[in-house]
Amino acid sequence: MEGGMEIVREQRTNEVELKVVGRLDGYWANHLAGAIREVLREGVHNMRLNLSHTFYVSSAGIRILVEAYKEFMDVGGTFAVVYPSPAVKQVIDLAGLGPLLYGGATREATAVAEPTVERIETEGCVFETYSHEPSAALACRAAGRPELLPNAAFSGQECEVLTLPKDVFALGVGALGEGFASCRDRLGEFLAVAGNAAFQPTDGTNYPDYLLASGTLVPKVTALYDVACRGGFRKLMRFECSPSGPPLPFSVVLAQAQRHFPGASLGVALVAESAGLLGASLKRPPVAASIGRQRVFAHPEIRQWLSFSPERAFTRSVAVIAGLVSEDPPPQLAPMLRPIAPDRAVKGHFHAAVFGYHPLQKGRIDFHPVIARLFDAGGPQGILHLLADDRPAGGGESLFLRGACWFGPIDRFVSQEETL
Amino acid sequence: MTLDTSPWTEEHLQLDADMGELQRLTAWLDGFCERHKIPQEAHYHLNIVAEELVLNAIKHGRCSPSQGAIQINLRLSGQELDITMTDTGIPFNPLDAPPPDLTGSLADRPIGGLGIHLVRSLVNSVEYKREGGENQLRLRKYL
Repeated sequence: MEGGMEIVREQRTNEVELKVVGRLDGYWANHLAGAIREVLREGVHNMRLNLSHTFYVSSAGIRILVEAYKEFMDVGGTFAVVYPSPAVKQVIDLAGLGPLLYGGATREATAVAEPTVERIETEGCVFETYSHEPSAALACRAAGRPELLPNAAFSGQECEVLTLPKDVFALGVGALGEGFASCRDRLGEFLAVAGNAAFQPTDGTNYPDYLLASGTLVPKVTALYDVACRGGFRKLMRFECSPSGPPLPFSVVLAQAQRHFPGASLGVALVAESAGLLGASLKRPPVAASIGRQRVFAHPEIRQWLSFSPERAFTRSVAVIAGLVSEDPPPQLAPMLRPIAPDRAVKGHFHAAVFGYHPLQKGRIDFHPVIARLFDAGGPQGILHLLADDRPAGGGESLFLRGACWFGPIDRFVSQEETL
Repeated sequence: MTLDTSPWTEEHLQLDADMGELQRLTAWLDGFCERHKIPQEAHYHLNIVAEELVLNAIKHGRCSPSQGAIQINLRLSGQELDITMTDTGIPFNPLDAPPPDLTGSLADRPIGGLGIHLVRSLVNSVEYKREGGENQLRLRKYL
């Protein structure tokens, strides 16, 4: 062990202890960072780092301790260095970090317990539902002609420019920018949540483009068709699977939300750790071509039009998802909705923006900061239209390990001619 | 004038600007300290100082070419250890780096700058010069 490092893990009540044996230097520091990240991924938010058998630490090791401290604070957890060896203590103290790292700090401001409205366990998962904005209402507007998509028959006439402030969430096919002429070669799936808008460009760049609301800057999207909701969410539901159990199907999360507002159409936004997303995105802009009639969903043309994997993608990522779910959608919404799971009559329409892994704070959390933090950390890796694959050997639906789901009933539907 | 006639010994290591070289550096330093019976605490400090400087050159120096870009010389004379390090990286005088903020909450504290702070804290003197397209650092530690 003289030149290396070994990490010994011990599970304790409500916390994990990692004991680092050996060197915590520039060569081995990332090894420890990976082990700490793994603990966070499991949903454990309290950690002790036992450095009693660590005989060497450099600034690269200190960096990992500071980063871990910040990550555990961000999720409302605790992080403490315990039993530091004299060699380690000397360096930590030289860095002026002793009182903080040895203290086992807790971010008190966000750790205040709120009363749980309801807690149930079902399908091996725990659901905790809180009152979020009890008097909030959602208004919904659907616009455009999604029926033109199978033939990629959109022209500039159907499109509209959406302004997307923080109290609006919207999804559809569009691109950041104003006007069909400047956007037509990039139009793809878009998602706007909490003042952040992102879309999957179809001009071959592959990486999503995104824009964050800042000061007076509000993102604008030119959309071929879209559905948008304005207002707030009445409920927040936290959900988490048992570590030894199967992940949670998306339709089960939505069913739990629907239980609170029977018969209502719901506006829903989630931030969730993915166990695999099933979705598709356009590879080409679905605009009318000068020659011939397009068939987007026909074989074999579909391969040129859609990026789709029959197996779930983006495991161990974090997704921001927004959309609508309804058992009995009103006429103006019906063309926008599809079955959300192979064996369910409930319909919905959801887009997901996928990010690298970031742990989620437990308990009651605020909607806007959580989403802003994900966008601030570097933007999404992909934008997907979530699917239900009901073929005999199909992929089923998207799965999640844990997450937060804000939802509320849609109280008012407005026509295309009205503004939200 | 007193002539210093104490015996001295000198050893030299050349490294590529590559993270994989850190283990070779550690092994070489350990060997030097064992051969010359350097006290344990000084051995520890020497390890930290060398790692911080080498890692800095590897990560931020943009050494070109990277092969053999870093040279370390240790000269032990009585109770004095001279550490000389040169690298072919971009000009960087660590003495110009402002001291890190060691006060305030950890959550708001920037992570960078700590390595140079450790180096300055663990040796008795540091001198820098840029010569012949190389960064040259001379550090002295009393054992």
